[in-house]
Amino acid sequence: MKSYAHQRKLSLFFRYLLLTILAILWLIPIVWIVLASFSYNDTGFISTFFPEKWTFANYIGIFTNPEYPYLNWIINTLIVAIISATLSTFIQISVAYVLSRLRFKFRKPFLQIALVLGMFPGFMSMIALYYILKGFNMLNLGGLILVYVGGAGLGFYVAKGFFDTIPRSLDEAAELDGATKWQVFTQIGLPLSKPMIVYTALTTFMAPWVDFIFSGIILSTSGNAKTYTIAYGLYNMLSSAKGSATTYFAQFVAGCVIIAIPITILFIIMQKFYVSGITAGADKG
Amino acid sequence: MVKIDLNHIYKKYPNATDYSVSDFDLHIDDQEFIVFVGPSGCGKSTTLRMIAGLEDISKGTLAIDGKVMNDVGPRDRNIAMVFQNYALYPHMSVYDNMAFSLKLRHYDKGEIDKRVKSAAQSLGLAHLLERRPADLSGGQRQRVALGRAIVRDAPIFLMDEPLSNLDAKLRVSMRAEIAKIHQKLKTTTIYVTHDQTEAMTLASRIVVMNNGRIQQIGTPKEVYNKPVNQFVAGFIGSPQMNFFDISFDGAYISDGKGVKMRLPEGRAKELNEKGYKDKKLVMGLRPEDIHMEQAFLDTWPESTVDAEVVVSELLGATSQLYMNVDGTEFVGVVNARDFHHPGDNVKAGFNLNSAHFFDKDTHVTISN
Repeated sequence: MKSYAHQRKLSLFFRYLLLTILAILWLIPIVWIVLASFSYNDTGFISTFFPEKWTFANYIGIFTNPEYPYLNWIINTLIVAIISATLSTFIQISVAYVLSRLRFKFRKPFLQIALVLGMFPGFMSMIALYYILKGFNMLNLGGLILVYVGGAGLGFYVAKGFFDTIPRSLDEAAELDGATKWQVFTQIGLPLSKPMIVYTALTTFMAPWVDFIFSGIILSTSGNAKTYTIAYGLYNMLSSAKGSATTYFAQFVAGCVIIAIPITILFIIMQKFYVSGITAGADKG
Repeated sequence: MVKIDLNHIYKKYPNATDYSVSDFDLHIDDQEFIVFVGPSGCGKSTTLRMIAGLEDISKGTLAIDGKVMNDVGPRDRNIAMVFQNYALYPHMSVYDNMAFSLKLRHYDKGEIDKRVKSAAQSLGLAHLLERRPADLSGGQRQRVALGRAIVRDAPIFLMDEPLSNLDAKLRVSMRAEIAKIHQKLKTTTIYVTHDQTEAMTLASRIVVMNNGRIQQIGTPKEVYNKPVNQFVAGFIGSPQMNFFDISFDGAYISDGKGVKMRLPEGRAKELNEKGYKDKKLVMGLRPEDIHMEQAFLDTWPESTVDAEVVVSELLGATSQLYMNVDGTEFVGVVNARDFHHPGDNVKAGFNLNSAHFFDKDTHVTISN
């Protein structure tokens, strides 16, 4: 008869096996793209998994490419992402806090309307947005920021769920201790929502950083490659000029790897703020 | 000196059809320890929150030292409150939790330090000042919550079921702690609980509430010995008072089954005078007024019943016997020597001089 300890080992083995298979499946494309970015080739597509000849030329090439101003794209995207992350986080956290903490007449209907609106994908509105922005002569980075920030308020659901878990009695205790509503928000609400703020900041940074649809629609009209963002710019490298798909493929791959770097750094820095159970101990627990 | 006047206060929540609190009229003097007691949902916490300013008052006025406070925010009422779930700030140390209100009021650092340390000393928290609430036990968190109220030196303390999250033993010791604090600081305190033992042991005056209305206001002794109605009689006291549906023929009371007793003359006379002859009424008898000593049974042979023991609990010095007489159950607290096993047939004597009589329809006390 199999002992319980034996069974447990066996089940543990299968669990790790499954996790390993999944990890490999997820990692292979990333490893491939990183390897490809270091691979020397002048013929277009890369045919081997491991580079036959290692090189930095692709990285140097993408920054010095005369046709495609990669550095401008990075700067453009950074500006758009940072501005819209800052504004969106502020708006989202504020909306979530208000909907979680204050009681007003239109609160319930608003929550329902927001839920319904959230069911429509954002790019459904792209044609309308295009004409509106065109009318305002804003088919540029400013217009792009407006698009990203404009919908931020609707993304409050996760943050509101988080605020709901902070006991109301904390607010009440602080108020009786002599705090104004603003002091309750800044000294009790905000410090307790650090994980939520970090999460919101990350998601609102990443959305514009990797967005292709809106940047494509809004920035394509100008035809000026210097105003593109990374995602749209890289796409252009492969699609616009005839024959460039093969010429610039290796540089394109290097460009893709570079995109991942800021996001990775952001995650590593902000990871430590993902502290679990920060509200533990407020209640009887 | 602080005086709190609650003048005919009503509370109705938005969208509610009924008042949660109705006609709450109470005047509290300086240094009093008032306990609101009642079953869940009786409006006691709502009333406390109205005093704190956390709930609006729908009707009536709340005055502190003669100043109407209805439209004054909680932060300007200068009231300290201890919450049921403690409501400690989880991101702050014990020290900062206690210092928070003083910092908001811009006390200088030395003064804050002095106050926090002295409160921590008296509550046995001195070695925990650097810890976070998450690292404290339930009893310690409770102490921090008390400490946070004490450092404020506020003229009014409100406590909303502060002991209900603690285990039985801790509850008793914290109860004594709260009593000590009140003896020392003499701060006017309003304390909400559903536990009648806490009410009896702590209060200088008890306010018994039910269905949003005050049932009785009185000292613990008054409320216990002279309940104004059947609800108060049943709510205060543990085990609960026994109730018997009886009829009165001018001299004897009877429930038509196993209970038939002769009332002491004075009690019978009072009931007769009040016109309850040949009427149905409710008799209440506290468990400790049920006797099993031979001496009692010999002296009052006409106020005994033959009952069967259903459950018996030996508590050490006393035993609680749950008995049944022809379908009517009642409980007696008797000397441990008079312990009986379930199924035993026993003779129980009722001390009718201590009996309470209530009107069967209005449940108001006829005679105590």
